[in-house]
Amino acid sequence: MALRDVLGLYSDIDSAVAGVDKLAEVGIHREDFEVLSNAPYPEGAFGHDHTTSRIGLWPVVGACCGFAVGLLITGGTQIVYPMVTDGKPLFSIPPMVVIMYEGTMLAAVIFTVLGAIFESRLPRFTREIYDTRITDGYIGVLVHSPEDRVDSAVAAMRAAGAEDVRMADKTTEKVAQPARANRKGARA
Amino acid sequence: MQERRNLPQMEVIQELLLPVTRTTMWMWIGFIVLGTILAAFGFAVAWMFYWGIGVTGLNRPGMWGFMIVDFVFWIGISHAGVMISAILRLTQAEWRRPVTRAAEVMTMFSLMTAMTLPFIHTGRPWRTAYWVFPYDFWRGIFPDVRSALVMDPSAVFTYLTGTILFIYITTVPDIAMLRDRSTGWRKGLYRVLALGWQNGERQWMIQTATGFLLAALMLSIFVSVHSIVSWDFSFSLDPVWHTSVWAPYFVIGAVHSGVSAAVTLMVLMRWMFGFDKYIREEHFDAIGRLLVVVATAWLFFFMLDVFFALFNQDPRETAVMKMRFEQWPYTLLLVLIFVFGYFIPVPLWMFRKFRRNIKLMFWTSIMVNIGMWSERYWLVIPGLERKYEWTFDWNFYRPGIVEITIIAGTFALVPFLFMCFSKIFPPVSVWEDKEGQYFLQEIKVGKASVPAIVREF
Amino acid sequence: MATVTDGHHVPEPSPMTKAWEYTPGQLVRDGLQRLRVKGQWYRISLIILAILTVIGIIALIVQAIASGWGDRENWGYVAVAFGYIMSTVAAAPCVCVAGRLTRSHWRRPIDRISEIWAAAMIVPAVLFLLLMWTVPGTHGRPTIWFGWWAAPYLWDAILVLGLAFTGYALLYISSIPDLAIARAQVEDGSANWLTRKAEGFFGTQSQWRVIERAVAYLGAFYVIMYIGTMTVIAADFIMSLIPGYKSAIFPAYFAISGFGGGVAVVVVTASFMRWWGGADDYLGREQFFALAKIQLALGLLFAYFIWTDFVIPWYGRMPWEILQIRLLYFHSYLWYFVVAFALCFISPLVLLMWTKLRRGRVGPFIVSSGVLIGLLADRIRLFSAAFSPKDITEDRLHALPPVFSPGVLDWLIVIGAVAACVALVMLAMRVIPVPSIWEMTEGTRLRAKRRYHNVEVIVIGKPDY
Repeated sequence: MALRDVLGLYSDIDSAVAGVDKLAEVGIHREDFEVLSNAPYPEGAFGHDHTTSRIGLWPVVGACCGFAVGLLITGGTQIVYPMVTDGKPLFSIPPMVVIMYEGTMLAAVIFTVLGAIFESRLPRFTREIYDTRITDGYIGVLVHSPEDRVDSAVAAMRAAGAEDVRMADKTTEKVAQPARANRKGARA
Repeated sequence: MQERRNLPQMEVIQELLLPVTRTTMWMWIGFIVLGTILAAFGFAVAWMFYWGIGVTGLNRPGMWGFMIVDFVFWIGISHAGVMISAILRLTQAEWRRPVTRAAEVMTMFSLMTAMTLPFIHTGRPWRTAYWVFPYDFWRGIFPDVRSALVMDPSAVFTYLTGTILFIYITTVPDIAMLRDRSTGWRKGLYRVLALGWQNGERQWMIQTATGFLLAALMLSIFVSVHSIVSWDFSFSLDPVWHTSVWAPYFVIGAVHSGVSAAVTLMVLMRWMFGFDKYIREEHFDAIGRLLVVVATAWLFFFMLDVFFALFNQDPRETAVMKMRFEQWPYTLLLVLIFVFGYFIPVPLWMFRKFRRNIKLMFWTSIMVNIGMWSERYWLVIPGLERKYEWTFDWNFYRPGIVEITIIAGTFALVPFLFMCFSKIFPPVSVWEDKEGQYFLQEIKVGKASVPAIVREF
Repeated sequence: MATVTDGHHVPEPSPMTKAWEYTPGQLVRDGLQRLRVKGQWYRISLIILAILTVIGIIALIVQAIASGWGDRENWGYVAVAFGYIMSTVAAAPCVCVAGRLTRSHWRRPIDRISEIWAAAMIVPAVLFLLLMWTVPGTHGRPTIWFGWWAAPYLWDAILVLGLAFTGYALLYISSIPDLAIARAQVEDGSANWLTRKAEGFFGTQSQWRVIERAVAYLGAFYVIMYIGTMTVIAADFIMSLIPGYKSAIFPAYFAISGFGGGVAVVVVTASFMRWWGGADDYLGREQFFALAKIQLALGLLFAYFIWTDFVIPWYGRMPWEILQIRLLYFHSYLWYFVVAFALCFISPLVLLMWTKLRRGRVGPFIVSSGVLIGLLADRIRLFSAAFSPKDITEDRLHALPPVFSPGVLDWLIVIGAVAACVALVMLAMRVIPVPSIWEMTEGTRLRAKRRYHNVEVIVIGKPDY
């Protein structure tokens, strides 16, 4: 089924929430739209969104990589060039711990940032639809509507007081996600 | 939070973007004055490179002087960013919002400034470069990982990289805002840096989670960085240097001087950029209370260092301690350390009336950093002057005009770079300020209205 | 996990404690109910603890008679008991001070749980008085006292006894409002001796301001005294007795590890209060989550301080420094060190890094119990090592002293001392309400559940005092 992006722009949170409620009345549920705002609102203000991400895994993977690289550099250089300095053992663990720790943390930080960029679906320099007034404080409700429900989505958003409603020029050929209650694996 | 006014969105954006959109008179004065000092700094460095290290006061055994003391000082200042940003983010303290980005940026530029000092200090930094690149791996010569002087660059580099990435990722939403409001070359720059940020809910969720994760990681790094810097000294057997307390002592001293520097920065931002509505008296009140605890902890570690150096009654340690307490100029430095570092500011900070006095907070924060710079000198130099047991190997270090100019240059470099940053990115996080507004509530208790916050778990 | 009902998602239950929904009347009734009604298990536990205490006292006397009063080595485990209690029981009141200083909201049910441990301060005070005679004077050995009059005895006594007194004062003053409630609510006109001490408190605005300020200043003073006392104990009872032990970080390590012990005591007590003390509505995930974060941070600090104490002599590599490392870490007391390191650092790090465990109630309890065991091993390591060198007037260690492992009598002394502390706290809970009624009541006024558009949120007041 083809989906078309529809963006409704609201000047304040009350009308944006009213718009969200109107969309629910025409069968467009939480998982079919996302809210764009210039700062995060309290979770659940527009209805509970159950997006999950694996951002927590990225620092763990990075830490493991950094640990391994640190071990290789510190251990490897000591073994390959075995020179006793200051009476310390040829394979000195305490100094290795320090540099391995730094390597672990560095890689964890780098992977966390890469993970944040990736999980945010960035970089994405082309957008089907956006409005710069969002960064000025307007709230955008971006609906990924099936083609046959675009008109009702537009009407619902206008009825709730949207200052502007825009449609993307192109549709996307994606399979629309069924409502969460009907998805396989959902618990009763 | 009690003094927060609910300001219209556009007013907040325009006021917080003032440094980016306009160059105020004070900014012009700042650029000119600091630029002049930087020119002198450049000249002094070039002079030293041309004529050699002999133009400084460095001579054996005192091969580390003003420049290394200044290196330690700026690494210390860099701890402000993590303290304010990471710890207050993890404890969900609301008062961090207007200060966090400026503190992190100060961290970044302090670190960069600190990193230049060991290179300048070698007298021939280009040799450092070609010793390092390409490294002579063919003959199996590798950096000796057992040396603290190898651990130090790894730690400082890690901290600098982490800070830059932390600043970048938390600034992306504001860069997107700038992208949407600018034209010309700025629009192109912001467009690339914003990576297509769209202000979506998922992106905000990731932004919040990333902030927490990076805060926790940076906290671990910040403790290690200054500890490793202290080990540059403590791993040796020099009298008064070879002590186990220097690691946490340096860290707590760094927090003390760093947070004080953050206070100085907050006041300057109010004065230069007109951020009175955003950096309010309540923020100084909160940071003053934090400083009382930090300063007292610092004093405890200072006492530990002194008492337990004398504890074992080692003759050489005792002799150097005696010199530190009884000889000029160390007696003066000791007075500066105690009086400026603790006994004037902390009793003042105990009172709410004084914590909310912005001029007083400004001058006490400057005093603290005078005291802390003196402390670094007091810690490092005496041990070197009496490094060896034989009196013919003793020396008195006296800094020359070249070193003094270089140090003055570093004090100009950090604010200069900060002002340059402010011309491109907002020094106060606009999106965090707005988030604070969205989460702000009020609770009525009888006739009183208590400011409140939505708490998410 | 969220459940699905009619296509709508039900959010997870709030982690906030249910007691925030109570009215002031309910809080008072609940608090007094916990004072009056004590189950059978309470009495049985108290009897067992009393028996263990008596056995401990008998073991102490037998040890002294059998081995002689003069041999310092035989007092090693009395010192372990003293050091362990100072590192756990005496540190517990510091937790409430930290919470008040940061003006956190979650600390309210925890404050009294942390303060009540001050009721047991008589035990370390008595142990200190017994130990004082085993510590030699300052002549011929390293000391921080620089020849002060009557050092170290007078100054150590001032600190330890002063700390005990301050702890009792803090507990009493913070309990005055609750004692006044108990006094006012007594039905038959009789009131016990402690509630009579709250006569004159009627809850006027100025009285409340005085109580709040007194608790804040006393608490800060207690923490400062605690750090000073632990520094002096570390110097006089450990560092001075190991010839040539050079470590400026050690006193700070001793104090910080004590904070870790204090948090562990509070977590374990809170867990017991939740399971068996009738305080399950007061002690929810919110409290355990916050305490777990602090425990994790203190575990990291524990490792950091141990690392700096180790790595500096490792780099110095002078013969006496190597002996110092071998004595305290990697030879003589190796297994005690391994247990301490594993339970005080590795276990909190590995278990509390996982948010799921950190947010639960069982995870923090398991970790804190481990910390308490690890801390005991650590104090055995330190005090046994300190009390075993024969000649403390030597300038350096020239050989490793023999390892002094605990015998049956030593274990009975340590267990008896700990049992005495727990018994005293349980007795204190009969007269002082736990958790604090007045702090919980104040907390309910600063918290609200509110509708924020499509979601119900919790709003927490942040008054600016």
